[in-house]
Amino acid sequence: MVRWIKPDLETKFHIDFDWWEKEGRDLRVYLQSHLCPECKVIYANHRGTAEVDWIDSNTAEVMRVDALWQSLRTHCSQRPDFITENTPLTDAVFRAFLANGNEPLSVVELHEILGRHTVETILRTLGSRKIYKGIRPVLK
Amino acid sequence: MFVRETQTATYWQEFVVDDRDLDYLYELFLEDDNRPRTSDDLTLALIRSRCEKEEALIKGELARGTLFQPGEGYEVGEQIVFPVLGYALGSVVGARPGYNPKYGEFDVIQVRFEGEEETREFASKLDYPHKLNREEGELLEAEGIASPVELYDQHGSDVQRKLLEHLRLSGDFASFRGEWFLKGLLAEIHEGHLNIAEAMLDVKGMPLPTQELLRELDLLTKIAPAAQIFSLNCALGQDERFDDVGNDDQSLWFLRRLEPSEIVHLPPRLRYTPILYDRASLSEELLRWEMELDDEIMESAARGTEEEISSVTIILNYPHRRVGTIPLTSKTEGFFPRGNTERMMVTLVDGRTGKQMLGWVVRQHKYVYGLKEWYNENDIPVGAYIKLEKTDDPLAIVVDFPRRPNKREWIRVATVAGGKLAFAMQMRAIGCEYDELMVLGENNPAQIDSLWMRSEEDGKPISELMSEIFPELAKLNPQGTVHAKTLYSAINMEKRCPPGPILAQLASKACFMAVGDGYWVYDREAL
Repeated sequence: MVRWIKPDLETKFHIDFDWWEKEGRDLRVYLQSHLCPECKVIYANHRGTAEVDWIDSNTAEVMRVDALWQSLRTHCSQRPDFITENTPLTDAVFRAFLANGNEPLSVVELHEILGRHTVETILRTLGSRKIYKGIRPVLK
Repeated sequence: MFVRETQTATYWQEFVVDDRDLDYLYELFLEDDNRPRTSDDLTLALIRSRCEKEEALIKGELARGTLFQPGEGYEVGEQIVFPVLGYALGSVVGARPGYNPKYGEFDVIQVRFEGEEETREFASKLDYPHKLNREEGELLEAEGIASPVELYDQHGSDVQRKLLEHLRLSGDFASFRGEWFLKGLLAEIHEGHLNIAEAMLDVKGMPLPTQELLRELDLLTKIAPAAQIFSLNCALGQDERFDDVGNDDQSLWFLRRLEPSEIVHLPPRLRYTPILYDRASLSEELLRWEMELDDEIMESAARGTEEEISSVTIILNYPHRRVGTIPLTSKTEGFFPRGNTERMMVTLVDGRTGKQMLGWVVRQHKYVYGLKEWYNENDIPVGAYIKLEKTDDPLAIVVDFPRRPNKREWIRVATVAGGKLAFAMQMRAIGCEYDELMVLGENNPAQIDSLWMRSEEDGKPISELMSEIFPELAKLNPQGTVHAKTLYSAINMEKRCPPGPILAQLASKACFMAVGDGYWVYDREAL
């Protein structure tokens, strides 16, 4: 059993994919719900999206990628309505990790990205014993 | 999209002149017209050459294979050029269907690049918009790219600095006044030619343009005229006997030994030893008087007006009257040609007689020399209005003064008494309009010169000078008032001084009291 340590301002968080598995929840269904309307039409079904041919917009080089992640990172997250003032805090944090490829971030860094809520509010929310959407501290 | 390095700022920042550039410049000089080129011309030519070389390189690269465009289909074994990957050449080694609901049906080709083991995959037969898909004929068009002239505007100064540095070091190029030419193409100018030029200038007694000197030199006619002129300019510029007194447009050559000393060295009468004073003490009214006096050594010399005016009138002060000069101030500088030479020859034309006089513009020290005789011949007093007028020839300026019938008038006349300047009202015959506040006469210029020299040697402070001169001027009218302009005019008989230090004394010393309209009274008790 992992010992719970109270996170602080320097603690890095990320989306823990194992949490989704342990909870028996389908991450890909959830990812699909974050797509922009345009991408939702293209990837109407989350099945068959785990590995597609992605064409680089500059070189036309083809990469095998996860279509949902790639769309969220390179297209949907670039839209101004991806994270708005009305996006709930935990959704906004989740989307921030989608946009940066799930690179670990501290609450201070998250605060800079979101531009709203206080650092303390974000820390209180993510640092509680309850885990929202698999967002939890990175285990060292 | 084609990668053109010449379109990037980094390319020009890291630009280094190489041997191929120099070869190009050699060819440029050897072209049929065989003429010197300005630094700007060479810089632009070099930028253009680099752009042309890059275009040629692009065309060469593209000729190695089929241009890659994701909309096209390619066969296994086909050679493809990828401009966006630095014109890398790759060979198609396989193909498979692509899958992504976003793009619809398309193919994926496997490409192996020269010198690489791994293959990379690229889209083909793609029916989806992509920036690498171009219309036929659009491939090499310079769409949205900066032309060589635009690149010159953006990066020309950096390129020029590096180019000129290189040309100076190479030893193969001669330069004169911002123009360059191949040394090997210069006409041979030997000592005999220079002696002839010297003799011509001696006989004429005035500066001559290079073309005129060339007429007597019999250089080889097969050398282009522009190259002949450049060659002679270079040779004259390296010979100490000759001085270029031309302007921005052309060189004019003269003999240094024939030049008046007043244009070689700053005349002592015009030399100002800076006086420290508090400019903050000058009120708006005093600053207005300073502007009106418009002395060339004023600290706050206003910029010349942008407005094109054809004539201007100035008031002649004592130092310029004695030396025979006109000050180059914000009002007058626009009437004289500009140039990088230390001295420039101009023609001063007497407005009444049309007589032409040799004038010399000395911009470094802000004056135009050449009117000593004219001032004397016309009995022009200190304080007279002098009018300058432009002509169709930018090197000819009309000088005149508003005339009036010769009439005897009471004016302030300076003498030296007890080692100090003294003033008295005396009758003088004056045949020109003048500023009543500035006009001054003198009985014995030699005495005043002696006083001035002693004053200069002793470094007499301006405060002491004012306490001597102010009472002398004040006694000439019943109210005991002296105008700031009168004081400025009188002080400049003994010491070269701009209005600022004088006005600062008036403003800050308790012994001077303003009574309005630029007039002041002196209270000896307050000293």
